[in-house]
Amino acid sequence: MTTRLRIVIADDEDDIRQGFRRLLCKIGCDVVGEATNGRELVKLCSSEHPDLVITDIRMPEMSGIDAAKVISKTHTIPVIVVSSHERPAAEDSAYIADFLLKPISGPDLEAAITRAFPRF
Amino acid sequence: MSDPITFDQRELLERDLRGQTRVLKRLAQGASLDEVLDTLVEVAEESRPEMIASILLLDEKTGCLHNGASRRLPDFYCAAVEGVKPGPNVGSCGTAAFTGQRVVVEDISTDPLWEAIRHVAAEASLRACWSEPIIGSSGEVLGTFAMYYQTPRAPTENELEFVSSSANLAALAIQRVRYQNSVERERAMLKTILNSVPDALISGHLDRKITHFNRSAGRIFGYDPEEVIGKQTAFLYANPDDYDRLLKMRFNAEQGETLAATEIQWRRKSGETFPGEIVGTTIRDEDGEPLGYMGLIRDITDRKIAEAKLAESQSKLVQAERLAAMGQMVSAIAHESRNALQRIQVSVDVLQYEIEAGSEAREDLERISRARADLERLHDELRSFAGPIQLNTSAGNMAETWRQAWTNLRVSRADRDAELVEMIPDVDLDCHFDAFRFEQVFRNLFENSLAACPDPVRITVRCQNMDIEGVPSLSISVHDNGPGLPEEIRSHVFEAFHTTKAKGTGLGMAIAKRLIEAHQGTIEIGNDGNDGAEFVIKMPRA
Repeated sequence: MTTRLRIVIADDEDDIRQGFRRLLCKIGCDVVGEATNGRELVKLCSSEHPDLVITDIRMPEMSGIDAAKVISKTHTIPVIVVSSHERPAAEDSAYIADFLLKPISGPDLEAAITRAFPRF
Repeated sequence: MSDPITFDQRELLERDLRGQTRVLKRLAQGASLDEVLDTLVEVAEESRPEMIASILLLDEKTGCLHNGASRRLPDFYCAAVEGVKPGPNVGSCGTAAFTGQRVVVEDISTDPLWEAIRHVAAEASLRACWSEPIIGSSGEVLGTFAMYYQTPRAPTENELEFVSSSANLAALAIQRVRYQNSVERERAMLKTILNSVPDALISGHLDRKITHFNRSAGRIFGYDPEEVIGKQTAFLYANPDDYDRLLKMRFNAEQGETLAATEIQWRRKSGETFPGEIVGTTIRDEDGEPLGYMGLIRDITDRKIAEAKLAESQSKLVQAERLAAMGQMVSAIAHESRNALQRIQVSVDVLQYEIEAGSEAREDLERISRARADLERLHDELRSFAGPIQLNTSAGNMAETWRQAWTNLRVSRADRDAELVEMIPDVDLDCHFDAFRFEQVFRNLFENSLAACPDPVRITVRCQNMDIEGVPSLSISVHDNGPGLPEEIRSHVFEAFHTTKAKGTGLGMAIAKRLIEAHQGTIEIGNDGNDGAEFVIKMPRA
């Protein structure tokens, strides 16, 4: 790996954001922004231009899926969805690079990142 | 009569009397009305050869006269009279039937009553006629009795008496035969009604010996009436106590009139028993004296089956509703737990980078990690057991599915001497099913065997093609070499939270059953003996 991946994460639970940030850091990624809802996530993508997004689905104000749809209009950033709910509907799958059901482990997350971003 | 009776008159009287006796005899013998009236005409003409007798009958419905009996009237004359409507001047008979009074016409050729059919009478050479109306017991006209002569003449007193007594005899015959006919019609109607009753109608004497056994009774119980008439009804009861109980309850003239609908188990001739509902009543004569009993028995087998099905579907519905409610709750818990589990997981993952491998703290971390995994498994199982199932079916190979399940268990059987043996010669293993769910089924079965069997564990999977009610199916037997299922477990094995394992939720077999049933398949305990436990899955292929 030559450069560290720049990742924005979104989850309305502080502990999960905190945990993911530290874990991503351990596996060699930089978390360049943290959002607590979809709207913040869209903003961060515009300002930070991350390489990858890891987001929850159900969040206040705007869901992770809706945010992914908005982001896809202006950016080509892979979006990995990590949710405690079942897989989103097929028509929404087009906007996401991967879906992982919580709880996921460090190796699960690493594998998903590699799939979404093979040069990582 | 003032004149002394002559020898001829006496002889005539005797002939008349003998003749009338013959008529009465025919009547008593049950001859038809035609035969009796014919005899009446015959004996009249025999005793009075110069006379031609005729009986016309009045049709109650049409009000017209019809030929009742005549032997010597020409056919054309009978045809002319047939169907004539009585009136104030319609010959002797039509007028007599109309007025209800005797009509004497001494010369047909001049009498105004005969105006309309005088020419027919002339052609038949009929010149005189007296006709007596036949009057029934309540005064109604039933017909006429007529005496014709071929010369104009006046009636003698004896002839008038004869025509009158003959009309009386005809009235007796007509009424008697009509009454008999109406009784027979009524009997036939009653018989038809009794035989049309869809329930078994059985009547009996006070000693409960059968006097009547209708067609439905024959059909329901399987006996011919002649087999059962005169027998006590005890043999119809499946349970002798019911026979006695019904006597105490109602089939006892002292107890009252009716037996309210009572459900009893009955026995058919074939020995088969069936549920039937009986209503009964005491039969009494006009003075209120009890004569016997009557029972109406309805076969309620079909109703019982329908009721049982209804109860079953209601109970299934209640069960389904409970499961649905529980499913919602479990799904909600599982969802909330996933976030909590995620927090544990991510913290454990982070700590693994920070805590040195092999340290005691690292072991604590492993324990937390295992507890987290157990909790996740429990939630998954609860969801499989109670949450909504959405099958994702596709065509697949069953063997690949159980092999995958076996492979996935490699960690838990790592330090075991365990072998999976397949016995599937010439069996088509292609099925339409949800491979993920079936893997879960096999995993649960294999885990149970691994837990129950001491090493070396040998689990045998056998398959068979079969046809279940015309549906091509696959039968899969999973047999282990453990101690078999304990007797007290067998009936509960598919119930939730029954477990013999030290570890586990007790949901494994309940989930397996639920998943298989979602595929329209079945799972049952197979031949379970000392040689291990066996479960048999039967799955429709499509």
